[in-house]
Amino acid sequence: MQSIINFFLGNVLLEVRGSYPERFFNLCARAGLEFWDMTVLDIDMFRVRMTVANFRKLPPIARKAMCRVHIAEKRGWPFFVNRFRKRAVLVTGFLLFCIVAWIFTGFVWVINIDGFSGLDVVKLKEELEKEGLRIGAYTRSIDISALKNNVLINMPELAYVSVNFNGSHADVTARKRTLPPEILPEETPCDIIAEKDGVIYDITVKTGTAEVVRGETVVKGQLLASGYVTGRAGITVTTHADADIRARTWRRMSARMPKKYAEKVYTGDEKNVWTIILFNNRIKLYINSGISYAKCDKIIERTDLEFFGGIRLPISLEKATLREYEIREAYMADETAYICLSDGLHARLDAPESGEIVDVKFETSHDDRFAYATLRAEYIEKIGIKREMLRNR
Amino acid sequence: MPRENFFVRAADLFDIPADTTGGLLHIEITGNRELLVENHKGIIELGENEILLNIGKGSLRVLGARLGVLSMNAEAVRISGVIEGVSFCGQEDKPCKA
Repeated sequence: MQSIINFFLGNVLLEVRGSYPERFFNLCARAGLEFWDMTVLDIDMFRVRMTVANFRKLPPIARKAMCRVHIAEKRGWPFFVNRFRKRAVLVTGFLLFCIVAWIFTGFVWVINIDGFSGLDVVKLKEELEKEGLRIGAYTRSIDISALKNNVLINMPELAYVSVNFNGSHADVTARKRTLPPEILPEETPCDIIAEKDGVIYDITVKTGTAEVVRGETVVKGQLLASGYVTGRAGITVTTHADADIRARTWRRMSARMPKKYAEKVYTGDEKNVWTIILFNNRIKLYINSGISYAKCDKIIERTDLEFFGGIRLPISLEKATLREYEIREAYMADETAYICLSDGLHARLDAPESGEIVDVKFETSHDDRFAYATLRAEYIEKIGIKREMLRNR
Repeated sequence: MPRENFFVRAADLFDIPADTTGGLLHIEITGNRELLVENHKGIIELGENEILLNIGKGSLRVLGARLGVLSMNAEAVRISGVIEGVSFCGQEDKPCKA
């Protein structure tokens, strides 16, 4: 810390020569002129470092101690600044650059939206624009809190919106709202019906009357437990039926894959083309389209320029790597096709929310052109859903 | 009774560090690399292998190699280098130089 302070105050390395240098140092200490890093050069010659302010008070002490003081080195911020006194244009240019960069970072030049699949980006952009967040807007004039509230009110499908300014970039993050399931009020009379086809695995009726038994096959929409309850006196009343009903259900998924396919083979030729993106305007550093290959992949890497390592400027450098390829016909082995089909089908196999997968069967077959696969999954899951009773029943 | 002795004795009596009240020398040595001397009275002799400090009643001799003064003000002096020995001299019948 002290070395940082000394740097900003400025310090000088002095060569002190005289018959009584000890006296010189004692006088300095007594006068409160602190020094440091003293080294012995010779019997009558020493090197010592002190601040510029203290150095200015030295002449009477040096005279009194009969020593000669010579500056060997100047170090620190005052000397660094002094070097630029005669270079006014350079300093002015640097200051202007800082000011212009600072002004530019006060405006929004790029809006990045980090959303989710199914997000209506166009609508979100419109809402953001309504609240003043548009390209070229002054960031300090945007009330982020009001913006977030209004966007959430106008887009009820969103659970969360955040806006962060990173220099000239506005990073908008939107998250989807998961709506709670519709729950019938406890006092509403209801039945329980089957949500899907299956075979009843077990049934426990808490309220209401069971309409099916274990092992019975049911179809979607069939009544499983009725909300009508008949008492001992023979009076029938309606209740809010409640039951845990689990059933065996099956799902079957099939897929096929052509054995003959087009394979992408890279020729090894590639080239890079560069583009400067300035305030959303693209300045191409190449002629025509830049693509000289008939078929090629285009891999884009974008680098945002940053000011002092943190503030993003509205200037980006885009590097597009064009990699040429050819399309060749290829044949896939049956085993390879089965592995691809198996991966695809298993990825589509979703675990039920209230149940488990008890068995999975994977069957394969093939002919000359295609490989076929079928996945059969057996579940034990809850299939009962509540349905409000019809009043005129 | 001399004035110094009074403060030193008072410090002893009240269990107060004698260097703060009595103006006695306070020395701290860090390994054999650095020596801090507080309440000194100035430098008598400076050399690469020997530094002699005025401590009022006598002197403090620091022996070593590549000795130098890291920093110095009216109260404290910090000496660096390879310190080989520290001794008091010039008191009573102990001369500083043989």
